Amino acid sequence: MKMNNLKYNNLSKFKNRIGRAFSYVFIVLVCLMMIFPVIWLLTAAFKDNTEIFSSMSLIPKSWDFGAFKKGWQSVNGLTYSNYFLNSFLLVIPTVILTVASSCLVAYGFARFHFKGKKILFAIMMGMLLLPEQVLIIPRYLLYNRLGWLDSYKPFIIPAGFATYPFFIYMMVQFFRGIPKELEEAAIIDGCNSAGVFLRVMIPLAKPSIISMALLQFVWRWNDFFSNMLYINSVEKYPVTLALRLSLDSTDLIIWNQVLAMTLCTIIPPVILYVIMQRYFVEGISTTGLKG
Amino acid sequence: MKKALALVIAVLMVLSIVACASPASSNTASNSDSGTPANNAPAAATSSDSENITLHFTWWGGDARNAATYEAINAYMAKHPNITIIGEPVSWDSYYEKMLTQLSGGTAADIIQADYKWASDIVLQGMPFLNMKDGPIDYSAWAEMPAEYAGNKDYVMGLATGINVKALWYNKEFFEKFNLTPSDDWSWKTILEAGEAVNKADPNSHLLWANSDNLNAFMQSYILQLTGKHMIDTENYKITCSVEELTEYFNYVKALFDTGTLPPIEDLVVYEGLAYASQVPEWLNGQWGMCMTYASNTLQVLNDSTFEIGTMLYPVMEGATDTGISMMPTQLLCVNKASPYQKEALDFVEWFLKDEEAITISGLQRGIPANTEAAKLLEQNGVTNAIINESIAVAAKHAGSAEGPFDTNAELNAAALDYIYQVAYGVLTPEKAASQTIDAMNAILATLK
Repeated sequence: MKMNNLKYNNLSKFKNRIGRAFSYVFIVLVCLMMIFPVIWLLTAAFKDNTEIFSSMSLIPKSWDFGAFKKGWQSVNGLTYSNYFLNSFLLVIPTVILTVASSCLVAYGFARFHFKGKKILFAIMMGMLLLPEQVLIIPRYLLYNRLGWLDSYKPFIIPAGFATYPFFIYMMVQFFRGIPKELEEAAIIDGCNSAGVFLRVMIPLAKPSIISMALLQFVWRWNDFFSNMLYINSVEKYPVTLALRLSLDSTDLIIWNQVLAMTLCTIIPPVILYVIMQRYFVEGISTTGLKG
Repeated sequence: MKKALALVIAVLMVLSIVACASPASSNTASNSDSGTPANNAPAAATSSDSENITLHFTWWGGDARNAATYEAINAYMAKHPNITIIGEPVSWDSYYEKMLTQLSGGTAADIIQADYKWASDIVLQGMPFLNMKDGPIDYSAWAEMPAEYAGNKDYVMGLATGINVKALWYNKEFFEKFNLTPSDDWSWKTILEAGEAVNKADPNSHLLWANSDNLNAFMQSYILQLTGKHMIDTENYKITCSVEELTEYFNYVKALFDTGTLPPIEDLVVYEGLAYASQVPEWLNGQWGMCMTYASNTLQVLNDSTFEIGTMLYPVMEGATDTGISMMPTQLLCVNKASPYQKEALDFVEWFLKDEEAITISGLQRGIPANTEAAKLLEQNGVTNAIINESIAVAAKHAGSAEGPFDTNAELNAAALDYIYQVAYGVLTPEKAASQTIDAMNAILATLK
């Protein structure tokens, strides 16, 4: 009986190990598939046009960093340093204002009772469903009249007025999940509404706020269409527009330079994600579970 | 709850009305109070030399064209210290959408590079560009091109920068290997015979590579050469050819695949959206030997292919009355009608296209210049592209009518392509495909009226 048990134990341990080995192999394979395009992007930056299109090999014939150096130079004396700076000038204020305004509005919807709250909330949700395309021309004309075109104002100023219903909704869900008792305790200790918001709700909502900031950062960083619509001067171009400047089917495209710069432009969001990853996953899961 | 829902819907409706109505209503107002370039200039239409003037110039291009254009702009500004020209290079993607938005918002640049494909649209949209016909810039030295490419016989929306033609391009090594003789009298039949011979000699080799645009362009040319009429009647919005005539083209497509002239459809669809052959591995390694494209798109192919490339006339059917081949502009330079500085903008365009210094700086960045004197000057300086020159010279000898405005219509092309593919996959017989294509295209044309 004992022997049998031992055997059985060993067998199940063995089975476990095999199972685990299989799952690791599977995970590694999936990871490789996922990361393959990025690795390809990296090595293609060292290949010439003919090699890029005719060979699947991940190892280039030569390791020449010239594409990074040449690609960094852009039109009329500008370099990618300008474009990166522009992207940061556009994206960082937009993200900060989105976070601040969305939290405030979400707190209002989650915790206060006021006249017309349901209707306002319904309108806000309606905005979530409104397709972007409908807004392009009215927005363009509005910003034109305000004299905001060819600046970052069309991105930054609306962000200060909670114009991203998705984030408001996400924060409302999170705030609703926070126990009311915590706020009541704070009120007993002498906090007013602003105090509750700043000292209790915001610190508790950290994971969710970081998710919001991260998502907004990546979306604004990658945005092409509205950047293209509102920004005319090359000196103000963010990286997404700058990258497209090199591509034209009636002109020569030096692909390795374009790919080298593409690689550079994905670095900031990737770094940010790696640093914030822990909070991001937590934020997504907690907003999804409750509400 | 119902009330809330009704309110939301009402708000959305109001928003959509605002969205639709505002472009027209604010056109007039936007000129006075915006901070954008075309509008913040003084209202005076005329200006003296001493006044400081800012012009905006927008174009699309790649790195080389952007650099050359900036160099020309800087040279012009050095000569005219009171004029500042701000370059606004925009990528080809969404260029047209942005241009239309800016034109309707009154914020468009003063000097605008445009494509000939937009000419019919621009005419319909109230001709926002200055008419160059008999205008301030003498363009008598320009190469002859059909008037449709710049508007119509009374309206010339801009001056052509360069000359473009469609042609066949082939891998010279491939032709030697399979003993093919290039000449300018290849018909559709010659292609088929040569393709069959190539595929028989080596089953892995195919004569022709074609993307989805090519398969459509073949259809347009084939029908035009067969019937002498454009496939799409742009006055009555109808397909002009009969089912039998279109069946002949579908039979031809079937034969292209059956003989192995084109690679199997499964291999071809992988590359259907590519703009040029040098992105196709089989072209680069010499398995597929010929392609059809515009001269302006050939720079990349010439640069990236490791073998020598030759050019031939675009296929013409025996006995065709209209070849459908024509010289077309690579781009047009237009002056915005709403610009407060039309005279200065025209001066710049004239300098850009006619001055020796500007011509030397621009080189072939906008194709072989349409200004024949500029082309001559460049050739004297050794700046030329022999093979593109050859393709233009050959096409000029066999010139026919211009492309129709719907020849490159995305919706119509997608409908036709669907049936071309069904024939290629053997799902539909050529007869059935032809009649269904005509029905489908007529249905779309009815919506375009």
